[in-house]
Amino acid sequence: MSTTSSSAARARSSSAGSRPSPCCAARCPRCAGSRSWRAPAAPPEIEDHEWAALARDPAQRGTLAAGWILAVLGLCGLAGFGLYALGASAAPLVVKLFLGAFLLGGTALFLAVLRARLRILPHDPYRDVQR
Amino acid sequence: MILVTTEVVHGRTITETLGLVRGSAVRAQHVGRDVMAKLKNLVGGELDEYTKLVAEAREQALDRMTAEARARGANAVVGVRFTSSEVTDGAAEVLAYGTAVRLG
Repeated sequence: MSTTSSSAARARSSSAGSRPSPCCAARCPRCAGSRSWRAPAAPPEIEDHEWAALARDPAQRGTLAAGWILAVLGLCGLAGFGLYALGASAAPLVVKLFLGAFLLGGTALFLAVLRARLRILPHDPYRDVQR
Repeated sequence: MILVTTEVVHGRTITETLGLVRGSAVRAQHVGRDVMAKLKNLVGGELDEYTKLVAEAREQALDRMTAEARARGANAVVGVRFTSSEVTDGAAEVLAYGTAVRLG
């Protein structure tokens, strides 16, 4: 295990420590007042405005969106073709059944994990931490 | 709650030592962020997806440590340290620990 010692150089006050995340409180009213939360740890940095400008840039947004759509489309197509090829292949039926069970089980497990994450997400204040 | 890395809080007296307090967190991000981070790895610069991931784990670990200290009746934690380790690919584990004390 690699270990790094850090020096969090400043003391934190109790008033900042008990403040709930406004974002979390907005998403989940039950969390308001019950969260231990501090002020953002990092002050703004010089390149922040450039990152913000990039995030608003239509060319950047379009490229990212097109990239993701094409990549997901290709992946789904390949997966579909793989399933079709398996079904049409001369592989023994038992192999097809076990592979189908494996894929179905994996999908079910993934959906269960995804459902749990989506349920926890509104109550997770740490997703607002930037750096 | 005062958190310091020093063994004492200057100007205050430790009236009671309440023992070790710690908090750990292991967090991962979704595969989309992982893909973008891998691509950024090709061109260099800050991998802000991973910066954010480690920051999330750090804050959560710190909150857990603070919560344990508060539960013990402490009003400060001295000698705060962070350690990290790698339990799995693409996840960040941070352990924060220190000594809970009551200041006069």
